[in-house]
Amino acid sequence: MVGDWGSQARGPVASASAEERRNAVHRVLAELPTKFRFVLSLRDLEGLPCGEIGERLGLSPGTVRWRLHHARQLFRQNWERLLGREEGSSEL
Amino acid sequence: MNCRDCQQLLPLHVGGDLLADQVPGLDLHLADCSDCHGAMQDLRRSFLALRDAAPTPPVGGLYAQIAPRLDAVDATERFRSAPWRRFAPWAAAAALLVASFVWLPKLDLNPGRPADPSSLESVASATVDPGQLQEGLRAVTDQELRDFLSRNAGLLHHPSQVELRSLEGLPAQARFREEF
Repeated sequence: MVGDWGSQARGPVASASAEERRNAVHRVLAELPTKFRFVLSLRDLEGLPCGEIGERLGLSPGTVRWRLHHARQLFRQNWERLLGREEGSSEL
Repeated sequence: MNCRDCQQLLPLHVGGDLLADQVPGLDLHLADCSDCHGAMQDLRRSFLALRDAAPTPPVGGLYAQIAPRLDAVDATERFRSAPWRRFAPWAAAAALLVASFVWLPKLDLNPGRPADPSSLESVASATVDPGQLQEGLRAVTDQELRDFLSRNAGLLHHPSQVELRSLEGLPAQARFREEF
């Protein structure tokens, strides 16, 4: 799984240790609005099903899925921006 | 399904969160559309990076792993704090005391001592009726019985006076057959 994205990215993040990559992911997560960060963390980091996330946060299943949709899009944009920034810095 | 609809569904599809009826149409479009397929790959990379940062094992799995240990800790604490544990040493001491009163008097501390002469006398003085003898057995005189019991007082002691008393009233010859 790591090689899936790591082999295509050549910046420092790609060559970093697992601990450093984990820190980078958490930096990107921290930039997300709270309502998206909660849903994304519970679903993708802790592996909770959408229904249980809704129960924990007091949200309807539709709202959980909507927030999850936007959270993954935002995370992807910020993650790619981080990779691009580090690729650029590594070329300098 | 067009590209706009497809890309609306991709963020949920990448994590397997789409409804079951949305998946076949999306997969069909992804198989034909390289743009959407590329977008899907981008999303998958960021999704996998996120998944790789997950604590291992996930929280649900972690609880399942530590639950038995927590139960064991709880059980230990319950045992340690059980109110009866304060009284257990006293209860054990009382049980030992009662057992000693009940059991010690029955314990024969000197099994080799000679039998009580009075009990021997009572056994030996029983009468023998020659008419009750069975074939092949001869009557034992009182003197023979007395001598035998005196010689074997140590052996006779272990069945103890209880058995000697139980023999009282029986013919001496019958006593010999049953006892020796």
